[in-house]
Amino acid sequence: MTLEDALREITSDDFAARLAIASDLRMFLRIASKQTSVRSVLAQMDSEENRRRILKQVLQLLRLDVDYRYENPWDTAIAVLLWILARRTPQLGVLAAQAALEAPQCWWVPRIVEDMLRDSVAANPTRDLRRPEGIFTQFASCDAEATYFRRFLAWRMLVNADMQPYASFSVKSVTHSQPLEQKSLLTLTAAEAQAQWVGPIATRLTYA
Amino acid sequence: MSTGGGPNDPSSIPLATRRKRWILNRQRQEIPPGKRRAIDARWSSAHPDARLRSSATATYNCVAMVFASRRTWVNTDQIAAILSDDGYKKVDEFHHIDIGDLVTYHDNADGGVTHIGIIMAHQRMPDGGQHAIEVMSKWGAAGEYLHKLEDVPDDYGEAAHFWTDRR
Repeated sequence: MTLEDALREITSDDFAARLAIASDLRMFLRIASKQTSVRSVLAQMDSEENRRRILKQVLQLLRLDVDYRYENPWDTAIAVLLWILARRTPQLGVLAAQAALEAPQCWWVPRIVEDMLRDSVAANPTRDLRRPEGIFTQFASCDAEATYFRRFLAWRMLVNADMQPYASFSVKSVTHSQPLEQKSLLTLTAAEAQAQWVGPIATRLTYA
Repeated sequence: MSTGGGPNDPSSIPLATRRKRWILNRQRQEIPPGKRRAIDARWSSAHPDARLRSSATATYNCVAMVFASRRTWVNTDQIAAILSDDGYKKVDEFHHIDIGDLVTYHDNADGGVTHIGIIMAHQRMPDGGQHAIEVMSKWGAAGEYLHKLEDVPDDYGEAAHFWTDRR
């Protein structure tokens, strides 16, 4: 099965139907891990190009409009792809999970994300991803956070080359917003990145 | 972000065992109509002998069908505490099973509870052979089915224990 065939399968209604019988995350992941398409994707994760393709698929699904009356129709697919990323490339998985926090009306995605971020926090207790304001005040000189944020934005730009991200953040009720270019992003100093770090999480990263 | 389902979770509803222990639960948004049809088609075709009583819905799952009047979603990890607090006793003999008793399905690998249903019919075969047991259960966010004891998705494992609250 090619990667494209597997991704088509994972985003299909039939795939979501097969996982619909799960009552909890443990069973959801157990059923997912038995699917041929999921095994196929996991087996093709050695290539950087494939990993980027999967991340791109996740971000594409995250951008689709959702009928506010119903659960997100891509909930199952996003959750499974996040789990795949987390299993093979934990760092990339956490980046995707961070983006997935914006996904509306999901059931499985927040559970997967919570698991992934909890693991990430356990691995690095100085990083509390769920309380970004805490990062800013408590870890003002933490280079790891700056690097993390730089990579997060760089990945989003890499898979959405035609989009221009803006970072915005609020100080005393005044929202600051500034466009980011990939070049400036990669040369951003740690201190600058730290300042930016608060923005997209406390408010959100927007695209023009 | 809270996925707790406790009293402070805005998506939970007040729900407790007889001993007043809070049952973690969360109300879930409904599945889009197209997905619901796909889910019904998938599982009705995989289990043609099971009768679809009610179409796929994410409003409730198997645990909530049995213990929460189909109002919310309760994870299977709550089952043991509910059975204990509500005074359920294990039924060890097949011929002691009765209508209204419960059956729990367990993972073949780790023995964890995967699913729960209500016994709707129990018939002893005239030749003294196997008992025919019919169960009503809700398959995750898929439909609510009337089915033979063993006629459930493979991922639920096997019917391992029967429970009764009869006095």
